[in-house]
Amino acid sequence: VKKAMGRLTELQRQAVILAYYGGYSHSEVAEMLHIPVGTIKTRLRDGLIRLRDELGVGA
Amino acid sequence: MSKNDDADLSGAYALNALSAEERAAYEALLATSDSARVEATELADTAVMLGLAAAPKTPAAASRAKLLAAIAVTPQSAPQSSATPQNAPVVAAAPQNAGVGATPLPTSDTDHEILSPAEEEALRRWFGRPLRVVASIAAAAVLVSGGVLIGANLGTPPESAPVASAVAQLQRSNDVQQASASLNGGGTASLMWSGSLGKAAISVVGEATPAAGDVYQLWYIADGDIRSAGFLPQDCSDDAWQLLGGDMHAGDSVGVTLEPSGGSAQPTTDPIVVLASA
Repeated sequence: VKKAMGRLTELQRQAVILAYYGGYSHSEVAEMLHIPVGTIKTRLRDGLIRLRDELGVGA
Repeated sequence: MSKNDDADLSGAYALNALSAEERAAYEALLATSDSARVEATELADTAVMLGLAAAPKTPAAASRAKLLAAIAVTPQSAPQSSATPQNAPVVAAAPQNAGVGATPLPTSDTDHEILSPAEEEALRRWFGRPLRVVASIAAAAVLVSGGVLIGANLGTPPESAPVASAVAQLQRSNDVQQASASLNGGGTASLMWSGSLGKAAISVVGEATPAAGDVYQLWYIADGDIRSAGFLPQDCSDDAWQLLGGDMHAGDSVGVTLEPSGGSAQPTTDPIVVLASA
């Protein structure tokens, strides 16, 4: 998982870490990172899809 | 919100990071879209793996103790499915009843209808998927305390929980005994032990803080036989009982010495205190 996290972009990683491990909502994450909510949404999705592929979930 | 926007919510949905409204919107999409359903399932599985990967890490003893203390004093919600009517007001917020006037206590059958959609969402969010919730709480506790950094140095393994219960067991034992003695240099040490359990705990108050690189090491002392019994924790709060490692034999005394960090096989300094149990 750590290695897979390393494959994410900085922004994807921050968003996933804050949302998942920090337990913040995506709008809170957007606020903390000073990034539009829409961007966070797509970053969370892209980040998780990348993780899914790296971790081989559903493959 | 358009369909495309909703599809973008899959990541936040899997991470439980949506508001109730967004969650409802996304679940509406799930009901109509196979591809969204597949994606949601796979991303949820991915999120579970994140939680499972983080779960074995242990929080720093201090954060763990703080968390457990907070849990101990935090009132817990009544079980959602409880059939006892007196639990209803706890779950159903008062405003819903206010407009109804002199309505008698709702029965459990109506509990669910009293909840507003937002409250139902909130309950679902928390109770809907136990594995995810538990995993994410554990992960959050760990990683937030570590400064929101994966792989952060998370400190020493937690010893407080097993120690606390072992000390409680010791205190409840039928043959528990206690002794106290003054420390050389000021302070007091107390020893509590049970012959039937073969266990002992020590409480040291007012000891000098060891110099950097030194630790207080505990010893069982019998005639011609000195065995290490572990260490006093550096951050040991005053008057907390600290369980000694290993087994105490009948008649053992317990001593405390200052040793270089990492401890010694046998004492290398004079004890600051020796407590006789015989």
